[in-house]
Amino acid sequence: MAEPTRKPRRVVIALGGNALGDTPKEQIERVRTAAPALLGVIDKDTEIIITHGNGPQVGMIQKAFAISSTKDPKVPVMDLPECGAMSQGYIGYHLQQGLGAEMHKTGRKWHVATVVTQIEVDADDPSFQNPTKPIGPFLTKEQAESQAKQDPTFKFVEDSGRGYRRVVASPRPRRIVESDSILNLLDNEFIVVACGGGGIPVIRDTDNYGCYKGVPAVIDKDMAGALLGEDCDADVLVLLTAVDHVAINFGKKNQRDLTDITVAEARKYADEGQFGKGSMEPKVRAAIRFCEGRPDRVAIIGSLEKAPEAVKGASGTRIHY
Amino acid sequence: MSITTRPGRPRRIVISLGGLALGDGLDRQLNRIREVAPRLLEAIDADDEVIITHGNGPQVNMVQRAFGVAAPDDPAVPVMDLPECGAMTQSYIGYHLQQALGAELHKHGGRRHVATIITQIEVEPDDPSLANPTKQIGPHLTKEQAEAQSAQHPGFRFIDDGRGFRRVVASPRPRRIVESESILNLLDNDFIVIAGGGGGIPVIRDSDDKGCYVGIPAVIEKDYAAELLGDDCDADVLVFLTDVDNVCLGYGTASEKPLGDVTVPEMHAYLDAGEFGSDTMDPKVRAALRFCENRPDRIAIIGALGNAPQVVKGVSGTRIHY
Repeated sequence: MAEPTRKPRRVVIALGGNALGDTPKEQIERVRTAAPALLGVIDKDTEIIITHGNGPQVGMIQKAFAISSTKDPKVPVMDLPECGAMSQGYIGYHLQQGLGAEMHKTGRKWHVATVVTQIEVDADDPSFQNPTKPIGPFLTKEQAESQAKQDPTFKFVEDSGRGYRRVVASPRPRRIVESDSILNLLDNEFIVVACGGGGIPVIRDTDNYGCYKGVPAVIDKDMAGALLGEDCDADVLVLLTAVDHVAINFGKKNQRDLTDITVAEARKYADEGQFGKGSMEPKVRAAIRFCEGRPDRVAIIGSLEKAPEAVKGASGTRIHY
Repeated sequence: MSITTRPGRPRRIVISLGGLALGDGLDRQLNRIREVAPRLLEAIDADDEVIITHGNGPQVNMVQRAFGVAAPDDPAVPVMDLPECGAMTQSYIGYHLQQALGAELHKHGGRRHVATIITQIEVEPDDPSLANPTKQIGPHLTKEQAEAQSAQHPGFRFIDDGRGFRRVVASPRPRRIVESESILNLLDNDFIVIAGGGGGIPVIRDSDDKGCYVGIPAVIEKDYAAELLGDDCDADVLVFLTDVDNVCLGYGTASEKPLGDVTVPEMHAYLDAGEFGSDTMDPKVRAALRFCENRPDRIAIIGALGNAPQVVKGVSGTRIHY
């Protein structure tokens, strides 16, 4: 009797941008160091999609253009969607090369492909009215005013006495424009790198037949990871960070590492404010969202070093129904 | 001369866009690509398999400048070398091409998808050009600036071109498209694939690292990269869209003669006679010849971006074939 064909398990792995270092040399070294753990997740019944943050990288690209455009007439001002696109190529190239090297050394024949990814957001997402995500360098009041005069769409906030920073919206991701490219490569056993930095945010332009256009905004990369899992019908979402486990009462005497919690428990802890606003809470919320999409899913939050163990259930915090 | 394809298989076309197709600034690039997109889509039939490749000269120059000027100024901005700058331009240009082609398909109810593949291209570590770099990149520097950079980066080479010192890098011959499987896969599934941007990111096998690929600061001639894309993806047609209507004999002279249909041996004779100088046409002609020589039922076309539909249909431009 023929073996029943089993659908391979599909895993989305989200890497933090901070894990990738600050210079090209650091980045390729870190990717090479992480490659065995990332590839350790894959076995013959597992497909993986890798997504990654780009905070430090897009900051660096923006800064390079911002400084140079004031000093060199041949360098234009480069806005966020284009800087984000550049960071996808920059990081994707190193992931392709670093994972490729590890496979070459261990005699594995998979291919790695980076898909330049746009993500649709709603034009009327409330965050566009109230942008709060700070980006770019600290500015003096005068610099901020002069930039606001040049481009009236720019909004700035004063950041706890350290100067002024531009703020952009952080809208909710709605649809991965390139999901067909990702699915196609996945179905053919590629390791796919996609949605880098939360994707390039685009809205439908009502003045142009509903075609997409880029908007200066930042999509939370963990939320983009959850959407990637949803649109690609993934079974497991792994959010990799610097710590092995999610903890409650973090930093207190009664700190407790969580290893296995239900979606309801995760929601309760998040609502209690147990997790860092800008760090762990978005991961837990993304994990909850992912599990809500299909109740047999598992989300795991753990460290990059222990990624293979985390996927096998021997490390990290598992969240499920 | 009609464009033939192999029976039972859709026509596979590599379209190479010259720098003119992209403009050279941010707003200009997206606007320019939006103008070009309808013509590109008009040029291809619904069942054609299409790879689009493009140059990145002005763009990579801009990215290098941005990092080059800012790095000494701000410790948070690292020095960014050529392979990484090239990777950035692939996704920067690819994003705009995806968006503009996607918009045009959306307006006309087209159901195809567009994907950009970040592409590395393998070159030989013993390519003679690596020992004798001649391709000028980046801004003109003073002697002192060039010396300071040499001291910091012992691998950098500079030449004095009379107007100042410029860095020179190798222009090695492309040997293998590392990501050809990704491209073929998407082509087989009806995607329009953008690949090999800027001649690809040049990589060599590192003999000190078990033969793993490592990026090198070099520039692959984009026309040769387009030809290799055609070979590694088994294309039937290679189209160079440029700013002139035809390849010409006696270009710029009173007896200038545009070429329509030319056979491979005829084109070789013109090339050997020095008809195409060493300007931008020479590498296109050489790439076209090699493409046809590698499979004799192929056709290579060089024509104007403005006439893209006619060029691809074979009624405008210069067609090279056996």
